[in-house]
Amino acid sequence: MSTIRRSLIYVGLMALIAVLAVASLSAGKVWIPWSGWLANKGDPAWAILFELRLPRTLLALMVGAVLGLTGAALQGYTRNPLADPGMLGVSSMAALGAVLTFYMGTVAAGIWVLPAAAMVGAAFGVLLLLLMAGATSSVVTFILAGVVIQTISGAGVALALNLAPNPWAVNEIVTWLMGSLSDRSFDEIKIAAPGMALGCLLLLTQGRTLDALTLGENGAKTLGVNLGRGRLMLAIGSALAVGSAVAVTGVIGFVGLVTPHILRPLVGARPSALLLPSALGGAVITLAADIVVRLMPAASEIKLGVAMAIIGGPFFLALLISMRRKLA
Amino acid sequence: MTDFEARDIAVRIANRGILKGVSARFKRGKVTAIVGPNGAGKSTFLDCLAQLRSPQSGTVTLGCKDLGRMPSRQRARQIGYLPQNAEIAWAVDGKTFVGLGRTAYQSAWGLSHDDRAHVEAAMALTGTTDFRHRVVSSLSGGERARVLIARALAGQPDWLLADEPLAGLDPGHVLDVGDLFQELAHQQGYGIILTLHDLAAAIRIADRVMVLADGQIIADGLPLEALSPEVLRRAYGVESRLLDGASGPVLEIIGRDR
Repeated sequence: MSTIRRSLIYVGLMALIAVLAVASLSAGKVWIPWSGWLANKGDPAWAILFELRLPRTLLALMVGAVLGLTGAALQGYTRNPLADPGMLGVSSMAALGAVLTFYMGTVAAGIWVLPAAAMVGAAFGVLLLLLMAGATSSVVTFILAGVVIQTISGAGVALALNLAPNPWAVNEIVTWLMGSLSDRSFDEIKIAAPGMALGCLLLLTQGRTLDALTLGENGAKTLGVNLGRGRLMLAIGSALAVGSAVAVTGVIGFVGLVTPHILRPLVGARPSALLLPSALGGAVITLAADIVVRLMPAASEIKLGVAMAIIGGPFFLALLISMRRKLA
Repeated sequence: MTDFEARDIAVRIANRGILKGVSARFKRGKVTAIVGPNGAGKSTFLDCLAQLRSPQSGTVTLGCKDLGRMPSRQRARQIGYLPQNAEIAWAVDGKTFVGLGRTAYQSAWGLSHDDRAHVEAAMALTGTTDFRHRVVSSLSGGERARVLIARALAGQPDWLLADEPLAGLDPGHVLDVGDLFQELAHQQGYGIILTLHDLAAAIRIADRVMVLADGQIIADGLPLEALSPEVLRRAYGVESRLLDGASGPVLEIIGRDR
């Protein structure tokens, strides 16, 4: 992969982000014309631009980057192109933590309650993961542990819904679980940014380990790579990043699955080369999807998480079929 | 002292003794083949040498230093290891793949000029320069085997440990890869330790053969001496004899020892 081609891909992705960001600020139920950008504070156009759409746009970029990067890192670690942040069980455990605050009604106690609970949930998921798969470095054990954690968190969410004290709590939980970027403010960004940034940094430092894993676990070990530490860094990194993201947007799936896939033929298959482009690509896909969702002529806005699931499900299926054909 | 030495290696798995106190000393510049029946503990022994498994008792030393206590990065610079049925997870090209051999030297910023030079040299030495832009998993078995060796050599190790490197190769490639191992040992001074199941290949390639049976070394020496009829009867339960062939002695397996 030549340096020129890689630079072109970076430039292309950044340009896409810039174009989409402008579109995202302008588009919605109310179109903001160019003149709106110069409106005075207090003007409705100013409020829509800077209080509603700017935080929504920034959050879409941040969450998308986190999901794309985590997806690429997890696919590299598991050497499985079907891996996704959801696979570790981190997303679903974060969701369970958040849902419990709805269930217990503590969500009203303060703006920090839900994010804190989501991060605790994510950390708990990581802890379970390390307890179950920490002693070995087997990828299969790791993935199975993820499946177990997802099952547990799914059961927890179902139980919370089942025992919910009133229909409003159920409504609130279900709405939140669907995952959305609407009506977010700079408060959410402030809450999520530190965890996302730290998590992403941790993930980006693991490129060498991910590359070495191309040779399998034994191959990587004999290359002098400390797999135990790599796994710990990946687990902490994805817990911080995905936990923070889930805390402010709910569960948005498939970005982590789809993004590395689209980019792999362009950037090359080397896992470390895929990390940063996947972050940018995830931001592009999430922001584009959010704009489309906003413009859908539906009675009530389709939630981003739902839209991603509708697109991602068939994509996942197609991927599985093509992989099966390759393996057979 | 640059010898590779294993002392009293014992490994038990699920209460079954896989290795029962194996000791051996290896010298550089030689090809040593470890042979033995299936389940004799060949791969387990090689894993212990490569520090992929820590034995219940016994030590592995390299130049009098305990390998188990050596930092993994430093160890990786001295020992190149080729796993059995080598996994290649992604569709990477030859150059990128051989570059992985530089992992133990690489900084966070990728391969340096020096790293690239060693990658080139390793590919030239193994005759794989033509595969630099080919996807490794799409190469034929013989081509891939040479790229795998290039990957191990790129790390400038003194030692090359390979688990069944000839498995699945056709006779022509067995000779090619075998010659490459001999050349690396005799001309470049690498210490090469292989596990092999093909006794004819062991006779042809190795300077020294160790026969491992039931977790113990039952013969160790020059190939034809180590693979004597008595040893083969004990290790494999077969009757054998040596014949004069066109290219040297040929081992004939006559039949099952009843």
